[in-house]
Amino acid sequence: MNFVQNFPFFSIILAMFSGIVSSVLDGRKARNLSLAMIAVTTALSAGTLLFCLGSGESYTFMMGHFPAPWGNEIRAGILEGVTAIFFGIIMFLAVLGGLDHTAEDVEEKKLNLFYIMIDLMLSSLLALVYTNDLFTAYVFVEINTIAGCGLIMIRQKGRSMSAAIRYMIMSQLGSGLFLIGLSILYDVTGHLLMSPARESVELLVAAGSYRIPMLVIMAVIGVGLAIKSGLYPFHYWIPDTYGYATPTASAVLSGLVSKGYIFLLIKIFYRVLGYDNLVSSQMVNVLYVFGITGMVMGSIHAIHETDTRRMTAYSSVAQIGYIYMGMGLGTSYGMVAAVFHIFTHSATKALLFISAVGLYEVSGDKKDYISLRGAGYRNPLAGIGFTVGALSMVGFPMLSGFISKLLFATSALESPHKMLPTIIVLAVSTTLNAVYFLRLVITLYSRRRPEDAPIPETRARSSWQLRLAILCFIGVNLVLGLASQPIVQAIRDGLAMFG
Amino acid sequence: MNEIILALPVFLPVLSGVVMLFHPWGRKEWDRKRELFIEGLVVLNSLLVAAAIGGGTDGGRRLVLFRLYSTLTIMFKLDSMGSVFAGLVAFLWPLATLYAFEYMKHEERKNTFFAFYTMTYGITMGIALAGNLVTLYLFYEMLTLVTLPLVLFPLTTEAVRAGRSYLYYSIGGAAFAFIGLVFVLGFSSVGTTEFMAGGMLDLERAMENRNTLLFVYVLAFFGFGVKAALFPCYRWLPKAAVAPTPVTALLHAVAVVKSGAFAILRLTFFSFGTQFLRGTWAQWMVMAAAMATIAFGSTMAVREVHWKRRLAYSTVSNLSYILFGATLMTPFGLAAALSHLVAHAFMKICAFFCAGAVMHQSGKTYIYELDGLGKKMPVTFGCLLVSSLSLMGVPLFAGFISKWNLASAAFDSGSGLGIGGVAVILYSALMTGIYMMTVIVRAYFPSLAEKVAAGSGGRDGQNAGIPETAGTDGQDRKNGEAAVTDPGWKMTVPLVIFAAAILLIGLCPAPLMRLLTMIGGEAG
Amino acid sequence: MEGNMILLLPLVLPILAGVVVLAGKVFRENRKYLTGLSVAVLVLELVLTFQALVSGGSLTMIRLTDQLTLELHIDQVSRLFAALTAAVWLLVGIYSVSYMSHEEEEHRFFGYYLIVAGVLMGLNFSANLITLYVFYELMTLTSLPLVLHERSREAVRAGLKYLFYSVAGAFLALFGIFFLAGVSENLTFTAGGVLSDSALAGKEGLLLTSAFCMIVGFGTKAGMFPLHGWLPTAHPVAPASASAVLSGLITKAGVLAIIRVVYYVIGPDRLRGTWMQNVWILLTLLTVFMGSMLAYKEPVMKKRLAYSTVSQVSYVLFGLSLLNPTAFAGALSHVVFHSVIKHALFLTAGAIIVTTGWTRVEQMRGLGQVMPKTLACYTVAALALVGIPPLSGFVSKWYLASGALSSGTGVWAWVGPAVLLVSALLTAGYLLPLTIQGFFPGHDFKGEEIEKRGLKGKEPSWWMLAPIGVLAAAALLLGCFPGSLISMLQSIAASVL
Repeated sequence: MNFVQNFPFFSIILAMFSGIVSSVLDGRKARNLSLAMIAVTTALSAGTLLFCLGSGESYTFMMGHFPAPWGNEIRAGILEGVTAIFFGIIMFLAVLGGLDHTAEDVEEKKLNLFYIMIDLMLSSLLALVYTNDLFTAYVFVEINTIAGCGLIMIRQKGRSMSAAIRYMIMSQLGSGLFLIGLSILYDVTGHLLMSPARESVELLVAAGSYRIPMLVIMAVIGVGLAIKSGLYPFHYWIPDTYGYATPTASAVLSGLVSKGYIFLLIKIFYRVLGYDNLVSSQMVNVLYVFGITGMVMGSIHAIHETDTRRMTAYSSVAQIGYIYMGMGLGTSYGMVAAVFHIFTHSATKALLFISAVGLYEVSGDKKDYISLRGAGYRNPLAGIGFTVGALSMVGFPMLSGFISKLLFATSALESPHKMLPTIIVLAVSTTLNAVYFLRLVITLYSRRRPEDAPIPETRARSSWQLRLAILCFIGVNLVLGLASQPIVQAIRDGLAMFG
Repeated sequence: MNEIILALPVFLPVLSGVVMLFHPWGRKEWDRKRELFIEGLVVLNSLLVAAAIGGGTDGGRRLVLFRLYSTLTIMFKLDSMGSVFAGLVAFLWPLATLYAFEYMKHEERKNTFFAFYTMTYGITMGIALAGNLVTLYLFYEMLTLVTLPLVLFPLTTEAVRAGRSYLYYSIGGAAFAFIGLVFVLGFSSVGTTEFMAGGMLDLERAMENRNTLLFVYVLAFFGFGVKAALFPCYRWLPKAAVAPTPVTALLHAVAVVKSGAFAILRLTFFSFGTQFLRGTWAQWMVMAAAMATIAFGSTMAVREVHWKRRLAYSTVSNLSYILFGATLMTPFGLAAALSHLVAHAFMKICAFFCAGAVMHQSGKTYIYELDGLGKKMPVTFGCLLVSSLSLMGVPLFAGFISKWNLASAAFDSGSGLGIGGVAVILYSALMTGIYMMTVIVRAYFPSLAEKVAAGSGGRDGQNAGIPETAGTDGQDRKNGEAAVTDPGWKMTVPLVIFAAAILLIGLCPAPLMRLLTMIGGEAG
Repeated sequence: MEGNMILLLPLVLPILAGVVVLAGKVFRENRKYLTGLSVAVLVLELVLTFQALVSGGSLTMIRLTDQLTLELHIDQVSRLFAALTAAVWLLVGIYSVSYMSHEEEEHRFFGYYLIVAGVLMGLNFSANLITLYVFYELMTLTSLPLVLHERSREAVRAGLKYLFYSVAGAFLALFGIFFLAGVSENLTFTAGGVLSDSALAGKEGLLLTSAFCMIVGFGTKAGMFPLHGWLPTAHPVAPASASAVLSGLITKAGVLAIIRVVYYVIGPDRLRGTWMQNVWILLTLLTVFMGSMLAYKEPVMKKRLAYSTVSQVSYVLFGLSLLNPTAFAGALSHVVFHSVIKHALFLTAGAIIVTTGWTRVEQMRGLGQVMPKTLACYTVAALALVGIPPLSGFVSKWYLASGALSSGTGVWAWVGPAVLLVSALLTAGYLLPLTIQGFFPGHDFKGEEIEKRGLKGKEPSWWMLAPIGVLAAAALLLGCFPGSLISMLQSIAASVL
């Protein structure tokens, strides 16, 4: 047992402890602790990844001394490692970028609460990534929800409260469904640990018994997590939520939280229910249909929005649709594309939100089109950041979005029935994305017109943290766009050993 | 490693443009220096291209830049067809830049303008030199991006609307072209998208999925066709006529739209391959679309009274001549398409530059304002006459040669639709005669009733149309009608050179046609 | 450039002279230089043309591609048309010296007049279809300024109409040229046709369609229905000299093109008895009748003459469409005769307008008191056109009618001559009233206007009267002594039919 193998466990615990410790710290110290913790856990995840790459297989880590199938387990592999690193990087940059805004938006006294939520959020994300136990997953799902609510609510402005309540309700609905599914699964298989549960499921499927309950389990878990990740048509809570939180919170929520749930869903598909069972049960087709519908409808809603944050939020709905479409293709290649898009979207959406903040700063903190006119000249770096993000969304070559599109398209080639709809919807969606994102980009670089209201006094320059964060996000995007080959390979290997 | 010469003409202008953007050269005193720098750079680049072409194209010289993803690499390759396009662009750009200096003399933000103008040169060269479909697609998207600020340049409401329209159409088109890219990659016989004469598809596998692939081809044709203003995706082109003339002339008559046509040629002859496509329903469909565009564009041009928009519709129509040649899917068809690509570039840039000269000197933008200008601006209208006759297809000019080629190729191919295409082309030629010669006749022979009125209130009330750029040459206009003369040498020299080229190609087409026929034979 | 360079001279000289006239400032100011140079060039042109016709041979001008070469050569048909062109062009040029003094911007007129002469000669000398097409297009472009010379609004509009009709016709013909280029080795004019049977296999329908397009297309210039609409609009607004050559010679360019296409490229045998031939005959007869009818009803003199041209040129086309040697000879002879006659008629009309300002026929009562000599020449020409023996028109009509009767084309064999007869009556009806009313205005004619304006006996100047007289005399003499002309035409007919 290598020391390195403890790292996943360490990272989760570290995050949780930071949260607990922060409750007695003041705002600034809590913030610094948070940042440091994120950095450390990311490093730990890197170590895990290297180890798994070296050993070429995933390993399980027993929690406590109770062996399977009664004890708790963590499992780490290539995929988990890559994902954990990614989440860590995004989280770090998001916290860094929104640093000063957080300090402004949140009361001094409550600042440490914010960072507690961040810490808890990270810990639950890591747990969702690494866990091998269903009930643990549920626990951390709930922790995630609470942390999310906390992040939204902390602003204590009117709309944030209603947004938080909406979030809570939808989230709990999803969690509830998840729990129901869990219960039935436990009932039917008698296990809560994923791998043993899988064996039972295989036996049941082979015997042909409990067919209906199996379907119900798949449906309920699927819908539950779909609600939580914002798949169309369960997306109603998203625009408000992402729209009214602080910049860091928006970035984290849109970029990471939904992805964590999707990751969990993928894990359950592979490790509990068995992907082949899923395919044969037509469940994937349901996901596929919802996915492509979301791709189109999300963009259509976005086009109608004038508040740019809500517009970006609707864009997330569309992008989540991409991921589900990839999952719904029913091939391993499709799943690779979906996972890659998780990374792409996290990075790009966070970039968009953080850059948008920079633009709002020089537009009197207004978020509508007219106020933003010409903002690209007033805050050049934020303008460039937003443009890069928008281009990535549209699928411009050399940026990450292009690789995503490419992966989706080539994976679609393998399924004869879904080939054409996928490709056509991809093209349509790209065009729609262009309409609302690039429309905004053009507005950013248009001249202000005489009839536009003058811009009130705003801060002279964005903080260095914001600018650094934007640059780093652009860098992440370029890395994904230009050097994607090793990452995709890692995903592929990771998925192979995921089941 | 002398293949680096393939990458230089692409990156040199792009990098220089980027440098210019960030260099504080906005000040007036820098004007002359900047002009010298840009012109020198552009000429140098053209010389590099000439050197690259001169080095020969046998064996297919290639340069791999980097690996984008698994088998997709970004690479340049210089083959005969690419060298035709590259050579054409390289010849035209220095002249167009020279013209632009004079034209934009009174504008602000010249720095930004010329930065993007120069970058476009590099990107267009990238398209010409692209060695595989991925690289073509990459530079295709970049072309949209780098030309957008040029369309937006006036920053008026119309310009912004035009820019948006251009952007949406272009990205939408690229999205559908992307589909083609993916399928070609998926069905490629060599696992990459490198251009191969005759196509790169694995024919066995392709035949199994015949209809899907044909459908994808049609989608990709229309996708790339957006930039080539194929019906029904042509709308952006007349709208973009609000941009400054150097932009509409070079970009929307040469670089951008020809890139679209070039991409379709690469798609048809070097990716899917005519063996797979000939005789299929896909061929008829795209041929019909090209024919419809030819007729439509010409007809709309006749109805249009804004001069530059009229020329824009003419471009819409003429581009589909090239596409029609391509859809014949024979070696001769490719040669004919390429001949019109070259001929039309000269004709249209000459016509647009004449229109721009008139606008620059007199501020007139509508057809009915042009009466009698033939005498006042003899060089300009002389070149316009050459261009008009050539566009119409009068023998001894370049346009006749390309029309002859297209018609011969159509009859040669034996397809009934092709012969219908000849009729459509002739209809379009008639329309072209109408919409171009009306201007010429009225410019040289203004009817006497107008002549009386022209001296007095000719100016007022006629500028209610789209103002081209804010504050263009107000000085000339203030002086009134009498001051209208031919523009300075920076504008007239390119005009005359273009007109001379049109005549040269018309009288002495043999060398060019030999080259193009050879290209056609390889790939058709 | 290889071959007999003498052929190039009749082309190049007038074109160069025309450019010099247009560009040189001295011609704008000094009328004497202008007219002197023009007439001198035209005389020289006549000489050079005869020299070229005598020396014969061929000349390759430019080789554009392997398929497209510009070549000239002299054969009997070229001789006929070229001689006619050079002679008449000189006569009208002389007339213009006086006539154009009443117009403005003369140098423009003379400049383009000279250029068109050269281009027309190129058309006559064309050795293949491509060369013909090139000169055809050039002729449209260079004659355009002649039409809109006066630059009134109507003139410019008429000019544009002329341009567009001509271009439309040219492109229709081009369609046919494209097709023919694909089914023959080259498009050189060879008596009896030059197409290859093997290449034509299976494409007969397309061949007929192409032939039809070419005939209708080139027929535009010749004023054949349905693309004749430009003629009645263009002729009245152009100066009389221009109208004369437009009607008299430039329409014949269309005829020449059709002759070359039908007899020297496609070959009459391929067309005989086909639907295309029948439609062609129908169109020509329709035009003959319609033109005469419209002329009869038209009050404006020049427009009446324009409609007359429409009708008369279709006599020629009718003769050509029968694909019969006698009719062919009749047609070609009518080319000569009508050219001579129509020039005389138009020049007369111009003289009337210039002297009296009258444009409508009804105004011209008592013209005999004003200009009896001119009116006498007019009468000779008019009678010739009606077809009264021994004047020339009778000869051509005789050959046309007998050719029709023996042509073996079914119903047309007798419908044709019937239409010709009716048209002749109408011709008398629209041409002779001027004579009658001119010389015999009636008892109630007082002639105050003539008195008041002092027009009595005011003949036009010798510059104008002499050409009219020469043309009228030619109309008479060619009718009395048609022998050599007819035998030459019959030899041409024999070579192609």
